[in-house]
Formats: sequence, C-alpha cells, structure tokens
Amino acid sequence: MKKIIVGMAIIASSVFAETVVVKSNNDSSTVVEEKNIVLNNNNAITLSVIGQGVSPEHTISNYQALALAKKAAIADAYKMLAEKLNGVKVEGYDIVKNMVIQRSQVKTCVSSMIRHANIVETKCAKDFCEVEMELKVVGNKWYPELVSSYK
Amino acid sequence: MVSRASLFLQIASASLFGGEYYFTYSIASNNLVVSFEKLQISKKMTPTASKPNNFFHIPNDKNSSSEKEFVKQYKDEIVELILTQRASVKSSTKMNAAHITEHSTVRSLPTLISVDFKEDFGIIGIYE
Repeated sequence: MKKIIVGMAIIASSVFAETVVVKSNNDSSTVVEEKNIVLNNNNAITLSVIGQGVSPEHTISNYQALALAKKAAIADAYKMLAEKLNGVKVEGYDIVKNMVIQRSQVKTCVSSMIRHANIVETKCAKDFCEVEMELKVVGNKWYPELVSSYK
Repeated sequence: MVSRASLFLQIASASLFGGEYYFTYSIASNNLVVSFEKLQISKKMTPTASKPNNFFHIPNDKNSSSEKEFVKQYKDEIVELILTQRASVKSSTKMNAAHITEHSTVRSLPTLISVDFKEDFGIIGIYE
C-alpha cells in the first residue's frame, strides 16, 4: 500500500510575521523580547538568516578550506532566504506493508530568485564559516505578489 | 577612414574608462560542503551604450598592477557583489529515517560589469 502525500508547506509566517529579537542588558542579565512584525502594504521588513558552511576534507591549504567554507555558507544563506521569501514545497511519502511502515521519506524543494541581499557579517573558525545575510522586503512592492502567489 | 577612426576611439575609450566583462557563476553544495564551482569570465568586445546601475568600490590591497590582474585577483569579491544583485537558488533535501541529504545550487546569470581600475582601488559597475 502506498500512500502519497503531496503538499505545499507555505512558510507564510516567516514572511508575514517575522520574529525580531531585541536584546537589552539589565544588570548583568540579558532580557530577550520578541515582537512579531507583520508585512503589509505600508511597511518594510528585513529578513535575516545565518548560513553555515563546512570546508571539504581534501584541500590544498587552510585559505582554500576557509574560502570554500565561506562559499558554502553563502549558498546556504541564499537557500534560507529563498525558503523564507517564497516558501518550501514539501513532498512526503510512506510505504506501508501489512500495517507496518517499510519506508518513509520527506523531500523538500526550494526554487527562487533573490535580489539585493546583503552580507552583514562573516565569521570563520578552523574549517567552518557562518555568513549572516539580510534581505529587505518592501511591503508595497512584495505584499501583493506574495498574497497572490499563496491564493 | 571612418571605421579606422571608430576603432581608434574604441581602443582609446577602453584604455581610459576600463574594461567590461561578463561574469557567469554557479556553485553547488552537498550537505553544506562545496561540491562544484564554475566561474566564467569573458571580456566584452563591443562597447555598451548604457551605463552601469550600481557601483561598488574594492580597495586594491593585493597590489594589482593592471586591470586584468585586478579582475583575476578580486574575482571572488566581484562574484559576491554580483550574487548580491541577483542570485538564482535551487535546493532540495531528502530525509529518510537514516540520513538527510541536502543539495543546493546558486547561480548568477551572465552579468555585465565594468571595471575602472585605479592604483589604490577599483570601481566595479554592475549592469542590470
């Protein structure tokens, strides 16, 4: 028996309600406040992601390893921005035989064009890199398009 | 006579205002590790009537002596600038009970840039 579930997991919440973390220091204790900012026709929100990348095993030098880790981190950051902006297509299926699951698989797929994203910060360790990237989404330009694509 | 004059003007303008290059870039990663990377740079052979839309400034810390060397040494920085302007992303993830496989591809379309090389810095203009 084969059961196929095909669905669109719309990460509208990530676009329409971005979580902004505000940190403030009060007497050596850190207070974290969370606010939900909703994208509408009249405002603009900034999507922020942190992409991660690992250097390959066989590299000529440390410089090459770090450069490749940084590039992988940039690719990961772009992927995360695309997920936030345009959503993820999720496809899952389970193979059940005699009431027992034989195989279970979930596939996710992202495809998007990102314009005017900015690299805010790059942190690199030994063979690992993190890239923080930001994308400003202007409501009067994007809100109608996003709403129509989710209808 | 006219064609000779126009050829001379083209050469003079190229030497005065810098060259223009097409950059085409793609990178693929598997499980956050780069598996494939391709960068194609080709010099534009005909003049462009329009002007670049966005300009960026790259300091010449690596002491490049010519425009060609500057493009060669700072190709990674130029690629970053191009990707920030426009990047096409495709990613897929497969999750089984045993493992997760993630594959991402980031590509930029052939993008025309202008390089204005000075001694201490270079100005990169990106056409849209």
